[in-house]
Amino acid sequence: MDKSMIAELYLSFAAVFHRPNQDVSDHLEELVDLWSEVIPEIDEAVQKLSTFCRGFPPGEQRLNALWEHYIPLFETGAVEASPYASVYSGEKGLVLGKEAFNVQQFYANCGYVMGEKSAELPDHLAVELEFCALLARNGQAEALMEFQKKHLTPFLKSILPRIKNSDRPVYSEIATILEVRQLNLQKEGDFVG
Amino acid sequence: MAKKYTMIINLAKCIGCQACTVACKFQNNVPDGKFRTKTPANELKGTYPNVSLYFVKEACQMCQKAPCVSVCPTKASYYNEDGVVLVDEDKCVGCLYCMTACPYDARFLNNETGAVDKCTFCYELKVSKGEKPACVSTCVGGALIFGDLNDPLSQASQFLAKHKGEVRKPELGTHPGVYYIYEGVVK
Amino acid sequence: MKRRNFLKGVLYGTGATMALVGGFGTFNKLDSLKAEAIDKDLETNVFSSCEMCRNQCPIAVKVKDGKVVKIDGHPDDAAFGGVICARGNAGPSLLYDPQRIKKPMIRTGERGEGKFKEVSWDEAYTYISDKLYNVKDQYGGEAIALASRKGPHDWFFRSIGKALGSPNVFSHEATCPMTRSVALDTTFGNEAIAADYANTKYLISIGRNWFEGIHVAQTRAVSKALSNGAKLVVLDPRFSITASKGEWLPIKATTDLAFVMAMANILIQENLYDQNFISQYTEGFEKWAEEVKDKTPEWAEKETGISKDKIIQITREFAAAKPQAILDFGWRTAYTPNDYQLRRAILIVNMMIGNLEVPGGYYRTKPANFLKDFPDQAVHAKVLGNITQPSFPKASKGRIDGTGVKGTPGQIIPAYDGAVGKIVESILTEEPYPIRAWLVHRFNPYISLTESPRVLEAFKKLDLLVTCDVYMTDTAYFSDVVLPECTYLERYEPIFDMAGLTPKYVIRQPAVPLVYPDTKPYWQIYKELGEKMGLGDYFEFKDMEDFVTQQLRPTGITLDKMKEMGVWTPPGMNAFYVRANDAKASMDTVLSNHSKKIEIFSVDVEEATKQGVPKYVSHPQPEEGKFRFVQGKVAVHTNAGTANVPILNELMPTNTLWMNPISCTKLSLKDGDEIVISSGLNEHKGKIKMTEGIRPDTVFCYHGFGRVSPELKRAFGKGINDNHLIPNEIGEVGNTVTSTTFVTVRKA
Repeated sequence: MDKSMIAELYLSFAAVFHRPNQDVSDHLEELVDLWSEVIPEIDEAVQKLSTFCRGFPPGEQRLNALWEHYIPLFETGAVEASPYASVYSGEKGLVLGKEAFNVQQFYANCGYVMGEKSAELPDHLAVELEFCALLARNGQAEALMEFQKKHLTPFLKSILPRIKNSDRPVYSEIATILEVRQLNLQKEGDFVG
Repeated sequence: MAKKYTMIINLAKCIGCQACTVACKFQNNVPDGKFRTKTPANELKGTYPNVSLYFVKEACQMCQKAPCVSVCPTKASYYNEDGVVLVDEDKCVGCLYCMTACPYDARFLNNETGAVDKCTFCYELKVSKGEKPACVSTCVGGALIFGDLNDPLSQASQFLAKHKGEVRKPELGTHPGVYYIYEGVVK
Repeated sequence: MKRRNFLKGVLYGTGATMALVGGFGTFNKLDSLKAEAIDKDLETNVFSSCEMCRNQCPIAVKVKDGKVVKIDGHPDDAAFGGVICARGNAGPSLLYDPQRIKKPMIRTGERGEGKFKEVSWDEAYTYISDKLYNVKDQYGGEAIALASRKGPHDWFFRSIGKALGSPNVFSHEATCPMTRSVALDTTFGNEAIAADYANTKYLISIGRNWFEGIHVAQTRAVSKALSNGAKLVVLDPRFSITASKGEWLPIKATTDLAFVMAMANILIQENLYDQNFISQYTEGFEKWAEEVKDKTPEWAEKETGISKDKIIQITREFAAAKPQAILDFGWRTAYTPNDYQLRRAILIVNMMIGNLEVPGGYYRTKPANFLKDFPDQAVHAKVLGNITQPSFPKASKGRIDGTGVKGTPGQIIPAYDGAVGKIVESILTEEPYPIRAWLVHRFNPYISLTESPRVLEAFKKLDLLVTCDVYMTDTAYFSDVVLPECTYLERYEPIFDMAGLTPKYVIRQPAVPLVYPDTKPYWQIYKELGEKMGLGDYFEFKDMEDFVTQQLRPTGITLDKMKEMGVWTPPGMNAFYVRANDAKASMDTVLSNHSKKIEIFSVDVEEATKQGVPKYVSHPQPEEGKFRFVQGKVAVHTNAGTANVPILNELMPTNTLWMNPISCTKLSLKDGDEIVISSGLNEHKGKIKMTEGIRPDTVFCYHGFGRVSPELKRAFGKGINDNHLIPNEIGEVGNTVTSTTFVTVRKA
């Protein structure tokens, strides 16, 4: 798999775990196409996603449907699967724990800071995935492997089952797909494809 | 000169507000669901309308003959130079003998450190810097006194000279370093 | 190959970073020269003030690696001495809670369906602005109501409503201790009267619960008095922690006024009152004497269930300690519709022992502008400046609650507070006219107003409901727009005037930057909303540092100094009691009414309710098979505010219904049984706590539980919401009424 494809894959997952927005929402079909093309054995999830896409054509209704599930899953109140790694890595289930500082340090070591306008915590699921896309695009293969091992993989192990178990449309399917993707990576023993 | 640190709990002044409980959690980064100290209500005594109630702060009793120290196979539980019972995280292998041996149920396994955890009198973070333990400095009712019994002028020494300090489960011969004052409560 | 274009566009949009498409562009290339390592060992102390409840205690916030790690009481403030309560200690657990709200939200589904989308602040402001102007155009500005928990946000929040020409601006006080405010206003002409607990020798509580409804400075002062040998007597149908520290008298609920009137009767009969004080400072005493003439201890015994001997004994002891004795005027919800008369009677009995402006009694708080009138004290009078605003348009209609209307009870409702429960009435009955839009700030009417199901009905009828809070509260869950406020640990605020026996200024400043970057401080929210609505003239300041600087300018104290100290009191000033050295000193400045007398007979009250002196009203007692339902506070929670805060929820996730074993036996209930409580109108599930610490005819639960917002994940569905059971009854001065409800209990 070439580095651009790997970057696109990470980015596609980052795209859906960022807060819903019109752009990504309207391009959901394309993301599903990408996954079904390059990730094997995800037919059932792809099927469900396609059904969702047909039921909610691009536009405001689809975006609202995404919000309906995104908010209780990740954002407020119920927070069925808190999107911050710190929440799962010890201490008191609170945000901005050590893990947030550790990933921030990792970003800095690789030459990146989070933009002032990003309005997100450093250990947000989408931020970590986007960072992986960035490393992949730049060909920083070693850093990517290390980031996966130290930060992303343990985080995904905690959060993906929660998203899957929430049974919320779109998100639980995408969590399934991401999990398959991660398993394949581990089998191949090659994070860079 | 070595210190002999003590904590005195004046039950009549404790209002069970749990400020100590929460202060300890943050001071010592105690994991979710675990507590180094807690102050539950003792059972309500008497019959309506003649009833009475007090709270008993629970934590490590800082025994001078501590069963936890004697059973520890790796010497992880030890007395420091000031008579405070501590756990050396690096030496602790998590065998839990000490938890079984402690008659005050004051210890728990900290899954984050992998070591057994308990009240330290905030020795490293506060007391060694000349401050009081977090629970003492935040006590709303003013029920907690901390000090050095080797110093006859300390507030703790002076207080114990005037009031009868009792230890929990004296019959076990553990010689706790934490004293309870029952004056003013119906025991 | 459309998708390639989309993702590639994001990936290779600009040179070093990813393009800013749809929320992307999270990362910037680090400028190597500016590369900053995170300083691991930097630990600082930031002085600020707490907001886990309304009291605003001064705190010291320890910050390490840019993170709040510990909160202590302010070490240099003698009233606090480094102490802070469990809730104050729990601050970091609110600050870093993943369940806080993080972005403005607009409802997309039906009310109560819980479907929202997140929007930008600008979208939220536009939405609110459009809806408010629609309501104003269609129904007039008065159709917009505002309600907040009273606090420093009011100046900013209320400006929006007042600028739109609405008279209907409310605090939460009517659900809280407003009856005592009414009593203070009508007796002394102002509400700024406080108790000097630390120096008292005899303290009587009528349901006041310093050891569970904690106000750190007052709780410590009461503790100090007890340590010094003061006697504490507690009248309460249930055995509170406060009762456990004194003599508990389990009075029949709603009969407290009988006890107080009997005290007055005895003081007169036995000539134990301070006649000099009464004649110099008060008016209307004869009418009061007449009113209590037949309120004998024998009579009171029958009413209250407390023996006449006990009433006599306590009254004598109270008088013997005079003037260092306090019959506490309370700080809690109103028991009865005429609760303000209980509070008035309490004040009058205090005045009968002349305990005003002396150590160990009551005092007028001493802010700087009060000191100006005393030559010896004027040097300490560093008065804060005001931030000017253009005048607000005059409302074209009167308030929905009749506040301020002469010759009606509205005449004595405090204008700042109003009768907040009337908002629900107005929405549902459209009397005297309908409220169509409701802005709510840090207040949760669903939990705080009575008859919760009716409150929900009202929410559903509104054109616009906006809630600004830190959590998705029950009220937020039913709102059209939810605005995420940052916490107190992340914001500046106006200087808080916390005057007691000396002036005291307390700062609130951020300990850390915003945890969730899209939350905002209230002042910014309402300033920006105001500007969006074309009301920017009411918010003429740059930011809060500018606001505070303007406030401080006339005092000569700088913002930097305040930030460094956290708390300011006049250096060298001692506690100031007007009558400390001269029992006959003038109290013209203490009293703010026209008569310059302590009004035992109040002309205003006479005009408003025809009861210029308190009259006794006997409220029904529970019939056989029914229980009186009472509520109270607990030390680890703040009313409707903290049920979902992680560590506090861990300490107390739910409540129970207290019941005496005698009653449990009659109902074949045992400790821990699941039950159904019925008020006749509504039912609620709960669990029994069997305890000797309650009257057999009474049941009790702690307030603030039984939450209906599923988004309050930890608190949702746990415990009993007392207000679900308490029927809607608005008292004489607009107050809620919490102790006149009877319930039946059965096994679930």
